[in-house]
Amino acid sequence: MSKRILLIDDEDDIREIVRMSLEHLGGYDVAVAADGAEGLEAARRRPPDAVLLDVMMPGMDGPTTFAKLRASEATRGIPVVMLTAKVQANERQRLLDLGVHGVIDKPFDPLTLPQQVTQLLTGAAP
Amino acid sequence: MEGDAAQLPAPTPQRRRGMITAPVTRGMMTAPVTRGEQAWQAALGASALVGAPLEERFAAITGAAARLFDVPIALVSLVAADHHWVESCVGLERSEFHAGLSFCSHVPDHATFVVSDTRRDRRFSGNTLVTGKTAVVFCAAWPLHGPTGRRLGTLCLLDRRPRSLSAADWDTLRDLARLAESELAGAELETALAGQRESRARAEAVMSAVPNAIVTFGEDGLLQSANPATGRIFGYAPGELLGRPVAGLLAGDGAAQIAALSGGSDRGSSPHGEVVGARRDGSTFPLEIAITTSTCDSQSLHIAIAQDITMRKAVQRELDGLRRQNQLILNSAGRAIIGLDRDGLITFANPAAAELFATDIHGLVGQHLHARMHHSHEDGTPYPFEDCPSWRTLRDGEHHHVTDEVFWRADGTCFHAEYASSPMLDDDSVVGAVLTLADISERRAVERMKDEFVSVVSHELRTPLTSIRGALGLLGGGVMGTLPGQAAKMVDIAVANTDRLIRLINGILDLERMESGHVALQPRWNSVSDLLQHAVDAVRGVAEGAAVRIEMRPVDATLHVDGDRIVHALTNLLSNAVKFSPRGGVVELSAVVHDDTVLLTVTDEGRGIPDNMLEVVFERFRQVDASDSREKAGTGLGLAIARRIVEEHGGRIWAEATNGTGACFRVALPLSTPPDSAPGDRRPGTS
Repeated sequence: MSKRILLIDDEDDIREIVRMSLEHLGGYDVAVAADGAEGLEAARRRPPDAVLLDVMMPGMDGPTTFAKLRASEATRGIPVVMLTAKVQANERQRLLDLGVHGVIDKPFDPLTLPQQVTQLLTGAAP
Repeated sequence: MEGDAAQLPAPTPQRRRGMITAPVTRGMMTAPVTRGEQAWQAALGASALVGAPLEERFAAITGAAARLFDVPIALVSLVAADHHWVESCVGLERSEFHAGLSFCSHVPDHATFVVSDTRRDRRFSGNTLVTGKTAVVFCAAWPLHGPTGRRLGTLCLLDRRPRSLSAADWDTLRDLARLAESELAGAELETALAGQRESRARAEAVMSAVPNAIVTFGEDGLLQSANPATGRIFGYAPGELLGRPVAGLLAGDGAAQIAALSGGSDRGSSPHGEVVGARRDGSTFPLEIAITTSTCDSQSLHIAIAQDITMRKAVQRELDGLRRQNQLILNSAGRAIIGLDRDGLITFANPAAAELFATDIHGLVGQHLHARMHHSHEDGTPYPFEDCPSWRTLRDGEHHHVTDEVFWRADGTCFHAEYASSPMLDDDSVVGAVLTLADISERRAVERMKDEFVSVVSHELRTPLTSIRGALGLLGGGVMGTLPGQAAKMVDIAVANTDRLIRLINGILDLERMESGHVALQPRWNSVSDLLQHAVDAVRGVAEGAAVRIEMRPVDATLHVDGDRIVHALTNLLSNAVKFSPRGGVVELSAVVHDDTVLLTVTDEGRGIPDNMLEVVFERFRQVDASDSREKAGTGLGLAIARRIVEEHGGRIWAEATNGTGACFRVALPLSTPPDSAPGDRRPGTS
């Protein structure tokens, strides 16, 4: 049975591309949410095997959403990989320090994205 | 005694100049001490009374005295400058002069002197004239005085027999003494006249020697005297000026100018002023003149001293011009310019400096620049003068350029400035320093805005690029189904250029981060071969695609560097080399240890870099050929980033001339261990 990934990103186009990439090339089952609140609700309702979480979103941003996932008993154990287009210094390290499984920079190559996700999720737990 | 006297030769007037001199020891029993020729010369020089004519006149007096009193010995001695000597004598051998003089030394200043029988007078018991063959028994003397009553000498009679003088004899002796005194007074007048002549000659010599014109004129304004310089300055022959009006030496209304200048001198001052002089030929010139007035025989005498100041005025004009020019330059300079003396006190400041410090120039001059305006860092911590570049300039004469430091105004506000500190040298020794400052607050604000702009724009670009790149990637990867040949090719082109655009944005961001100092270095010990291997791995795919072989020659050494950054720099150099290599070409990456540096070299077999472009290629968006950025899909930022990274590590990077045999880039990184290695950051191979 395919692993189920929840993608939380406010950009419609990116949600579509990531979904196509992971489903068609990686064999994942992808659920999507357009913001942090919707994502938290979806994760609680049906906990996925992993979450792909955009950093910059209006309303609740990625790190806040991540904190709420960790705060809830139902979602605490779900591995999370962050997607970021932010360019500030030490962004990657800052995110890893929060306890996420990995960080993927935008833009990414959709052909290698499933492979990147798989490697991050099967790698060492933080 | 008579017989004895008769046996003596008849007294013969002898003109003898005294050769014996002795300190005046009036009242002493012993004879004066003979001093010799040198003391005599001193006494002679001190007395202006001695001269050949006087000697002759005294010879007549001593001769007459000997005859009148019927004595064998008569002498006139003189005293001056505490020495006395025999000026004229009859009846004594020269060798006896000093003994004769000893009689004179006993004569009081204002009384006659007589000894009837010297043999009974103990004062003369040792006198050879008394005890010897001359056998002087009697002595009578009259003191000689000058017109002012000063004692000048003695007229003395000596005899071999005891005798006394009658009142008439004393009168005669007094008359002879008066005669001698009048001769002395005449001699004094001659001496005074000679002195006056000498003084006049001296004054004339001075008048002739001075370069200034010196003239005298009376109330009538006519010249009474003029020194030679006057003739030279005004173009007149010697003597031609006397009797001419002094006003004629000035242009315009000379009389009024002279009157104005002379008028002030009556009040005791010595007024001087600049006027226009007029030469005999009508030409004019600037003249500085001072007039003093004195009274001579109840007549006013004006003395004018004048100097041609043509040269001085010309020099002054030139100096004024230079000063004005310097002032204009200082005033017009956009940068603040401040001069310091050796102690760091402000000696001058231009208006831009005053504006910068929100004060006026007088508020700056005299202040200690560092103590008043440069005393603290921005966070308020003290900034010792000894740490300030301006102090090092004053101490060692070093030039310093500082890109950003804080200066303080009197109101407590501060501003960021870029400044240069240069020494003021005089004969190679430092006499001060000049600081040029520019307020960089605006520049800093612009840089901050630019940083934010670049950051925001880059982020906003990334989001749509992610969609474009993703959509194209999925299309090109056949996720949507296999594309027809031409369509697949077009999608490949779109993917390649999207990637290039992404690289460009990443490059801009990298440079911006490094230049703004937002990312601190994370130095660790890295083996050189690891660094080289990582860089080669990063470009392996591109190299294989371009059919270029990469050869690596590492060295066994370690470097304390931020490994990711150095790999980034080497990757940029390698991908650059691959891009410009022909298919089948070889790119070599080698390392050697040279002294205290590791020298990394990247060479390729491409077309190389022209000599005039060796430095330019490190500038942003500058490539050897403007078309390269399109053909080679480069960003134009790779080498600029590489240079930035290497320089952040205290290293150097440069391109070398190769005479067209491909390009050669070199990187030199210091081997030395930095003092502040991070804890736990151990050098490989050490415990």
